[in-house]
Amino acid sequence: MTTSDAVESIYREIAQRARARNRQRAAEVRGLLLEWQRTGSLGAEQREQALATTHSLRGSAGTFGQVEVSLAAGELEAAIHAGSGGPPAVVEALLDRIENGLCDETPVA
Amino acid sequence: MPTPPPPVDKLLLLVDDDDDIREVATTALELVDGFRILTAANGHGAVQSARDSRPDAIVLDVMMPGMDGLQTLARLRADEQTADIPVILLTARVDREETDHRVAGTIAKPFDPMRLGRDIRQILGWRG
Repeated sequence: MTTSDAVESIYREIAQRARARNRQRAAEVRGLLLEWQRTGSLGAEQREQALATTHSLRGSAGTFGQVEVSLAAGELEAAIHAGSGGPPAVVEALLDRIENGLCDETPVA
Repeated sequence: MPTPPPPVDKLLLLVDDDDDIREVATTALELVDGFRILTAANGHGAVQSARDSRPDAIVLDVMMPGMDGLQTLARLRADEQTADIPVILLTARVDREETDHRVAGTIAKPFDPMRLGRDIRQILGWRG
């Protein structure tokens, strides 16, 4: 096995774990969105949590080749940052893009 | 048996709160580029590791919970034992950090783990 083969093998294993972790992150943000929709506002602490989780999702997805997920997470981060009052309509669409991109059927890069 | 990389007598401290990113970057930097790697998951750990191990350079994520990368950088610069260690920032906001003269350079996030070692060598002027 060459060094490249070994690195690629390890990379795929880590990428699979990262994808699972990112699904958890997306679920966490989905939960915060539902709370935001329910109450019509996002508290400071919840906003910080949503921003931090989305930022982590963006970085991790991008590092492991999930470009579309990373881009959507970047847009979501901006939308959460800018949103006041109820969640902008775009937030749900971005979360849908992220969740679809993280599903098992999408191949690991 | 994988072909070993050319030896590089450099110790890097990699600081990122994401477990998977730390692991993949460490794997690539060790197996592909031949660096010796220490890791830290937060700013406090980074400062302690830098004092204890005096790495040749620190690769430091900016967005971390608690003590963020810039706060960590300030602590490193304020300590005479770590003030001169070159620091490279990992950041999604390259345009904001690129004028920070306290750092050797910045690498945009998300980064390609397979190119990270080359980018580090280029910023620090290390031959590869």
